[in-house]
Amino acid sequence: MRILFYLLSKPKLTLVSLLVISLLMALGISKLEVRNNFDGELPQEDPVIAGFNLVQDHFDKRSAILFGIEAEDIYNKQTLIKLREMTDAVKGLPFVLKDEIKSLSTVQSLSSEDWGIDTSGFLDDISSSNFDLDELKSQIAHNDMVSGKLVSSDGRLAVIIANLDDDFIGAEVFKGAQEIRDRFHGPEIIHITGAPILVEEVQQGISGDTSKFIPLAILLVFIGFYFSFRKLRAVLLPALMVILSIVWTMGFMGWAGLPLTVVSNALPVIMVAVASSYGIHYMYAYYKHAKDSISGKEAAMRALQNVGRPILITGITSALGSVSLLVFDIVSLREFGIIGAFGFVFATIICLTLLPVASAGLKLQINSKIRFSFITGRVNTLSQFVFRNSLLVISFYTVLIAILLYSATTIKVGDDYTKFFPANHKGRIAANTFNDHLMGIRLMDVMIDSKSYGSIKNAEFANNLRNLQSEIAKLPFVGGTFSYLDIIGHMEEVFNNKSLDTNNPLTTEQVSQYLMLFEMSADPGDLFELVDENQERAKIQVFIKSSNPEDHKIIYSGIEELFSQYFPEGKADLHLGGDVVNRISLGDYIVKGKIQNIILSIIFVLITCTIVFKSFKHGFLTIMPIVSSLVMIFGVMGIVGIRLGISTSLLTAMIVGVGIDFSVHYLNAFNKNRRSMTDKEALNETSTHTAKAIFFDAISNIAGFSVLSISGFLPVQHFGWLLAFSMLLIFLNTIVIYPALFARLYKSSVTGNPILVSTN
Amino acid sequence: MKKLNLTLLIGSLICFQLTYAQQSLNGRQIMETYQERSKIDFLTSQINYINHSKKGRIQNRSLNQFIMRDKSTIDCYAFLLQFESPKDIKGTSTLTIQNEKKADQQWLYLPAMRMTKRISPNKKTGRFMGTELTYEDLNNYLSEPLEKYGYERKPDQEINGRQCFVVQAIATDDSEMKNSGYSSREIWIDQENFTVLKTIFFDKSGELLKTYQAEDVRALAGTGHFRPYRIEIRNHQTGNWTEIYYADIQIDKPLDQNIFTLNYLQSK
Repeated sequence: MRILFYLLSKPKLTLVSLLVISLLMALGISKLEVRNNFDGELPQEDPVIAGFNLVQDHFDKRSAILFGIEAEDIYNKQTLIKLREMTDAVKGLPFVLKDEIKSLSTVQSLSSEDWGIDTSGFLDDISSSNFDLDELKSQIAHNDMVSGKLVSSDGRLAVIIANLDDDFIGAEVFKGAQEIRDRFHGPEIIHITGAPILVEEVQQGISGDTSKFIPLAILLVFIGFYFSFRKLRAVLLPALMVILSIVWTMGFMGWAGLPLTVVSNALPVIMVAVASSYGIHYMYAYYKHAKDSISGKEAAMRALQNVGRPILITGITSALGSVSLLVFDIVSLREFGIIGAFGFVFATIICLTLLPVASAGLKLQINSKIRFSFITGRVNTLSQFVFRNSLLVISFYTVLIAILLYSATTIKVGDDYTKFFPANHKGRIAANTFNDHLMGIRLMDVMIDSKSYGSIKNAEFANNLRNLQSEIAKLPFVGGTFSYLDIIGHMEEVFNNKSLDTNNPLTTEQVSQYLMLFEMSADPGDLFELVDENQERAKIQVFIKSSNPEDHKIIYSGIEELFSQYFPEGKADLHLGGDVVNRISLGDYIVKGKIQNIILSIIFVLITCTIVFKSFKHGFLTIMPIVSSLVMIFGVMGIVGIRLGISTSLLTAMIVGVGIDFSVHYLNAFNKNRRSMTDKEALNETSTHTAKAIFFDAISNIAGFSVLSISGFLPVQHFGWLLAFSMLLIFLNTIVIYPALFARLYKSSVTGNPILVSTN
Repeated sequence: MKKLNLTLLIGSLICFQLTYAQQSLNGRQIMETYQERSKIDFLTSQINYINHSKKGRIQNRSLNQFIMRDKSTIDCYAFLLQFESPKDIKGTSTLTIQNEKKADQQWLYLPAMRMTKRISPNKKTGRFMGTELTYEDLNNYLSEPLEKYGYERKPDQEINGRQCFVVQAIATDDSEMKNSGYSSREIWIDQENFTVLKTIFFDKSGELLKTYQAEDVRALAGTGHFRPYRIEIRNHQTGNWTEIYYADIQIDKPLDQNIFTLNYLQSK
């Protein structure tokens, strides 16, 4: 505090120092890097991730984009020519592997004819005669390699699947795919989808909405401040403070080499919500003391004396709370823990230096028009009611918390990408079309390791795999499966006119020679997608119709169970891969990390406040509104069905940050008032001033961030209204829980001892 | 001494005339000379090929190759390919009979099922045995279709110390233009032994597609032929490539015609 008063006495030095630091930090922003993907986000030693990586090691990382041509009936000359031309156009897309494109135009038919085996392409000659088109339709219907995979069985959708280079840039691929969609659209409907397209659509849609709505939300927050204080200074100074806090923090990220991620993108919002409250408390204190001061400097000094210490405590405690994010195993959340900690410290420093110096340097401004005075009466009434009926309120809270705690356990984890979009969004329509007409757009890779060279050709292994595959196909939400045995089965049917079943066991030579034939006619990627080069490991591609992470978990455990049935006694190893598996792990780590993070941040706050206030009771009081708000938010998410994903998990950082602020200021004010007043009077006084400042902050943030709820993208929408709802809850919990607890804890005292250590 | 001088003079004159003659050859003449000097009636060899995928995966296969020209034609061949390894595909064979006036015929033999099946002839652009060579490449190396192409000589270049003609080949025949997988080829031909040392292929849109490179060229004693014992074909668009190693190449050693029959195929 001495340093702060010293800096206030040296305004030029303080302002120049702030300017120099701000410029240096601003330079750091130019060094900021962006990291859009989640690769490497999870701990590589985790068994699920290790298995995922192993599948990639043996079968390469494959990301595919899908084009669909939808028509009443695709079997007409014009549509088939379009399919062929589109396939050629896809070959020209950036990052598309030219030899890994599958469509009716690139695969061989391999069908049994009277004269022998026809290996020509389906679309080598496109006829307009109904007879030829019907023959093509029948040929495709009887070919398991393409029916339901490249053409829907109802003949309404034909597909082009294009694999991408490992180092693809999503934005470029998406742009190229959109151009093809627009070029070939009409009369057929052209769809584009696949994980890289979905991710890009989500990112572009969300960043489009956030870049539109977040500045608007921030503007509305500050307009809310104006309506609260009715003074431009009360808006501009906290706004400048928040902007500088964001500049410092982002500059720090640039200098420290911490990239901008989907998580740290939320920084401006969290800084506005948390840091602006520091400014509000200062400005409120300034105007409170301005009435009795003769100069701006005196008012500034008295305001600093009044709220400097609680702001300092709030900043340090919030920073420690943010540090607790380090327990996360997800890299971008850990990074955000460091970023947040520095951000809160920067906001505290700027608030306690810039605002006093600036307000001291400016002409004394008295504010007799502070709005929402009606709130004082309402809060007072509520506080007194709670104080009188503390037992009833505590009982009500206990029941409510118990219900919401139970509801919080039902919260759904992980992000369902397709549900991110508005119902009429092209991305959602495309995903639904593919799921309705084909096997599904989400993919899980099941790798079975035979553990010896060439053993996938072994008849017993092949038969077990066939049984496993057919059982996997029956699991819920599984649209279909594909493995090297489908190729062999098709060949057996074409060459030998027999289907693969238990009455027709394959010999090792048969499997080898059929694979050899496939290898001779296919592109190298086609076989290596299903069988590794040592023919030691085989992959079953499992196509999933659902994008819901819970459904993926059911499939995951179903496969593990089936594998132990068909490959007992360690005869083979099972490893699961594909983007779906990565997301399952991400969800698990979000839950695990979130629980640890909440517990640890609460412990940090408890310990810090216990040390600072030299009382465990005070530490306990500080955490109560925070804990209640967290339980309520998660409980409501559970009831409403809002998923706990990356973006929503960030809310807790904000709740803890804002919660600490409200608690510390409320307790500090009550304590100071209580030294010279009765509990009732102290409550009245606290409700009049501190609760009002808290209300200004809460209502401005609620008004501002509610704007996000009109976004068409669910994550933005949920984030907006959860943020607004959290502010409301923290405010209400602060003004309700404290009177109830004060009534129980200090029932006997009339003037009592200070609850908190004096700040003077 | 006079005799030696005369010999030297005649030798120099011949060399000069040859060099002059070579220097004055146009693209078509170079290709005609190449065609003349590389024409074969019979060819047998052992082949070991390794397909490399862009991700570094490999497939290693060995086979025996038997080729015979239909003497009633200029550029129609019969060829039999019999796989030797890996062990479990040993005996898998394909027999192709090219016809001048009708579609080629192709049969496949699978020893595991003791089954011979006729299969539809491959498209010119189809991959040959899963390698980066196409059936079109194979045909062109057996017999360059001179009447279907225009040839333009480009400035000579050197490869690995060997002076080469460089000839650009562009299809002039409508059917060839339609069915070929290339818009043009640039062919490097050794000026001394008329072996193709390199070919660069451009796809239909004129983009670089792949490069064929021949190495370890050896003279086949008593035949006047030269053959590379290692070739490499790199597809620049996909990143996949193939190495082919030849052994025991025999040219124009007559083969029993019965080798190129279904009976022989099934008897193996």
